[in-house]
Amino acid sequence: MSFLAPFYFLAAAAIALPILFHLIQRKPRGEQIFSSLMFLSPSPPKMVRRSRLDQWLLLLLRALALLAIAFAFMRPFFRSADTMESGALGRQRLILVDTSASMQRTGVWEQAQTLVETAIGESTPQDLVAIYKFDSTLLPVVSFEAIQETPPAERPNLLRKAIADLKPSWNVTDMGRGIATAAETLQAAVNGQNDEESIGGEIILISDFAGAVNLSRLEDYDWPQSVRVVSRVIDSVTQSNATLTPLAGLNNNEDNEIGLQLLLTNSPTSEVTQFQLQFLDSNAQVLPSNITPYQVTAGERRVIRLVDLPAQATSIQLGGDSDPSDNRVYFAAPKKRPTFVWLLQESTESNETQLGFFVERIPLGSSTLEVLFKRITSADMTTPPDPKEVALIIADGSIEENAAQALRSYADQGGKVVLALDQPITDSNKSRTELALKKILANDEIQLSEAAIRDYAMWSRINFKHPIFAPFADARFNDFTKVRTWRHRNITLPQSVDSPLAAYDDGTIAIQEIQTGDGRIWLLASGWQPVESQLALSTKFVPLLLGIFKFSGEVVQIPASLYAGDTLPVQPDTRCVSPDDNEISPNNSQAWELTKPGIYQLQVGAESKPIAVNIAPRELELSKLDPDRLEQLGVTTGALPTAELVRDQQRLMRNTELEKQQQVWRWCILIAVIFIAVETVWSSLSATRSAPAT
Amino acid sequence: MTAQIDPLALMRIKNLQLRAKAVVDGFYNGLHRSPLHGFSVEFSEYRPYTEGDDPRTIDWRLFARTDRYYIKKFEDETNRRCYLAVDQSKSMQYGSLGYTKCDYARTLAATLAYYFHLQRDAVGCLTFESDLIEFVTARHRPGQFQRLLASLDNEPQGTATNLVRPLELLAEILHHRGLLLLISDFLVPLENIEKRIAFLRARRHEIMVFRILDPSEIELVGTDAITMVDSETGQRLYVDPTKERERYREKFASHENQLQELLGRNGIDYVRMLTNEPLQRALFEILNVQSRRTSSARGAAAVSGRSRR
Repeated sequence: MSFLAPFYFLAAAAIALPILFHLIQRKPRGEQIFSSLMFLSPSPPKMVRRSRLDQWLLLLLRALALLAIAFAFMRPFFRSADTMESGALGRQRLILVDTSASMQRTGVWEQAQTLVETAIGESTPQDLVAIYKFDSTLLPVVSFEAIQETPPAERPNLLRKAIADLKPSWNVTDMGRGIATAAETLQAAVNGQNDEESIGGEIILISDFAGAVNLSRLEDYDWPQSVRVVSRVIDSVTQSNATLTPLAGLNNNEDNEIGLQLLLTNSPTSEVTQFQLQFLDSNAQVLPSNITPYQVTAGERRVIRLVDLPAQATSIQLGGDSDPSDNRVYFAAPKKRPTFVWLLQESTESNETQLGFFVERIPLGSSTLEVLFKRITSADMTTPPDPKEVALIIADGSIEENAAQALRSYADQGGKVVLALDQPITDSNKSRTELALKKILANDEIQLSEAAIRDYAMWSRINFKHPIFAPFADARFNDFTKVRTWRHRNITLPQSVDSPLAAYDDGTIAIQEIQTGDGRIWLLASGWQPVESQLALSTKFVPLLLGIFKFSGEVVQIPASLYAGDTLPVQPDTRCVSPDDNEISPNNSQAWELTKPGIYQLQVGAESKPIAVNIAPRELELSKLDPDRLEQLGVTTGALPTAELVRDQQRLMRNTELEKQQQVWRWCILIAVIFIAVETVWSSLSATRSAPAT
Repeated sequence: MTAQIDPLALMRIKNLQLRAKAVVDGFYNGLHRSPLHGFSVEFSEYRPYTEGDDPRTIDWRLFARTDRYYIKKFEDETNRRCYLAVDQSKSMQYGSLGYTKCDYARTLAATLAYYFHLQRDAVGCLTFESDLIEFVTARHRPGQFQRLLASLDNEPQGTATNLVRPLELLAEILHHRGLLLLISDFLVPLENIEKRIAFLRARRHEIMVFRILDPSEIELVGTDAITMVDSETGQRLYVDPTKERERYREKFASHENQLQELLGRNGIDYVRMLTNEPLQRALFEILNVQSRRTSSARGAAAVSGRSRR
């Protein structure tokens, strides 16, 4: 026989109470406190002592009743042999190792490996242990499937070898995504186990929790109840640590100098306050420079601006810090690509009557592009230029037939041409201009005439959906009524040509776009000089010409800041070479993976373009996340109960079930009631016998 | 004739101040006048100048009108110091009427304190058991009455009575001449008390003794034999009242006679207050004693005046 609550047997001690009450010597009755006994004398008292038991049977009945009640409260039950056994219990443990860039810090990875070893060591043979790593994504090191296929005796060695071979990456951490994916993986492993053999799933999260850890994935994640997370935090080995973070890529300031902005952060516990900066070349050799040391007290940060970078420098290194893993920032000075804009005019002079006078004053260049203007006449334009060298040709109304033919060829090869008819059509030039226009547009049905304007003409019916006019589409900018045209030409084109981008208020063409092969020609019915119209002097002119120029060249933009773990879209005819001179193969989504910090080279033929890749600033943050934050996001934390505890709980549940089925306590209560009834009858009988007869 | 308040009804009032006011307001008919003359603002009478009078007291305006020397006399503001010494020993915790002797004594002390306070007397208070518990210096100033009540309101610790040590301390503390009202049950041996009381009297203190007794202490009641427990010593005594009643009465009367003789020898007035008696009686007793002393003082002054002539 077993008992569900054996401690209730202590209640059987209540049997002693009736005996004790009986044996306690009673004090004489009638005791009174008096103020002072100084006037009183004692009278001899007569005390009677009564300390023997005389109702043995009654006492026995009462004791037995109490014993039966105590027995009932102990919840007795009978256990059969088949309910005694219980199978071996085990846990599904997923050791989740952070392999982000912050784990590259001195001594951190060694600690992580030790913690993994400890986690492997504290697992029982019944536990199923797998190792996964995460930085920006979760990847298996030794998956549950792999460990299940391995004989149990070889599993610890397999796990230990895997963790010994594992190295941290330079990627950024996405801890929320890593934990959520790990939880789903573990949940699947737990569901695959027999319920009676599994305690549950446990993620052993081994991370330094450093940097701005991203937990956004967990904010709306429905955490599975059968999975728990145990955090093992890696402490920093070095108290003093400083980081160097690029604030922005190389940029041009107003003086057209290339500059570099860096953020130097010192840890709150740092004992070092003075730091040196050194430029390094591509072979990591220190270059001579005159940078003065920087003072940054513990817990502070300082922005550093550097100009006059040495030509051979590819990186800058922080000296004076005890942890070298986060002290280097790479940068690549861009090489400006030259491109030409040809101004095909009546003369090569530059004055207000020429179209080019106003175009030359527009800053078309950028940090990666140097725009050079070249004034030519129709006589100089004998052969079409290469569109890769000449981005745009702007021609005026003085164009000759041979030059027109070359322009057409240029446009056919992908060149972009702006042809502005800026000279009034007279009898002397009408046939020449019409002929040139027919050559350029390859159409003989074109007619030209001078428009009759009483005062001025304005642009209307502008196609704001076209990329050239799209920047003006907003209601704040689409007012072209102040751009007045004093004189323009009437251009009659065949019906097959598309509708114009803009027309004058009399319905004639103002701007017409003609596509020829890969190139485009924009035909303007008027010039933009003040004698023709107010366009050159209006605020619309520069955005309009910039739009035309950018339209002419679609260059893949490389982001200003690239970090380890980023990808770069594959560009045609280009090779990407990693910092250790290995060509990188594109991944499945046709992008190059930039896995480590350093200078990558984009090679197009013999030309090479350097790209700097650094550690993500989030990984360089010196702050640490509190592991309790996981619990705030709904993650169930804390270790699983031990197998012994679970087995005890299961045993208790089985006992409770048995006791409920058998209900022996009811019989005990019945026996107690019988004892009490007999005691009542016996005591009443004895009282009747002892009462004096009346 | 003022209304007498039943002590049982009075003791149901929890607040000691209200109890004191209830007693005194029913009794009080106005400020008493000091029989002693001195400088004050209230004019009393003119008296012909005699040798030995202070010349500063001569009214020179009256002299200008009458060509006689007259002394202008004023009623003196009282500057009498009254001390209330209240016994809070264990024997005072006894009571057979629903309240203890100590409650009654505290109410009596508060009543007397309020009465003297209204008369603008400086009132002080001290509570004692076997030793002094608390002492409040006699003063007449705002808040003094509340201080006295706070002192009286302190719950007694309850140890044995020993009047010797408190009387010695009183003699040490009370430097200025004043009125000392000793409130106790005096259920102590009297052998060592006389010397201390005589010493107090020698310091020219006026002393009045209020002996507080429960009615059941005067006469043993009941017929059944009972175990009596001494409230102070814890001593147990099995007593048969029917046998002991007469002997107790004799011993008690003898002790009281001894006490009265002792006090009488030292010129101390003795008032026995049973806890079922109205508290106004104490005020009447005080008035009686005061008037008796005033008349005796005047008689003595008259005798001395006649002898001087």
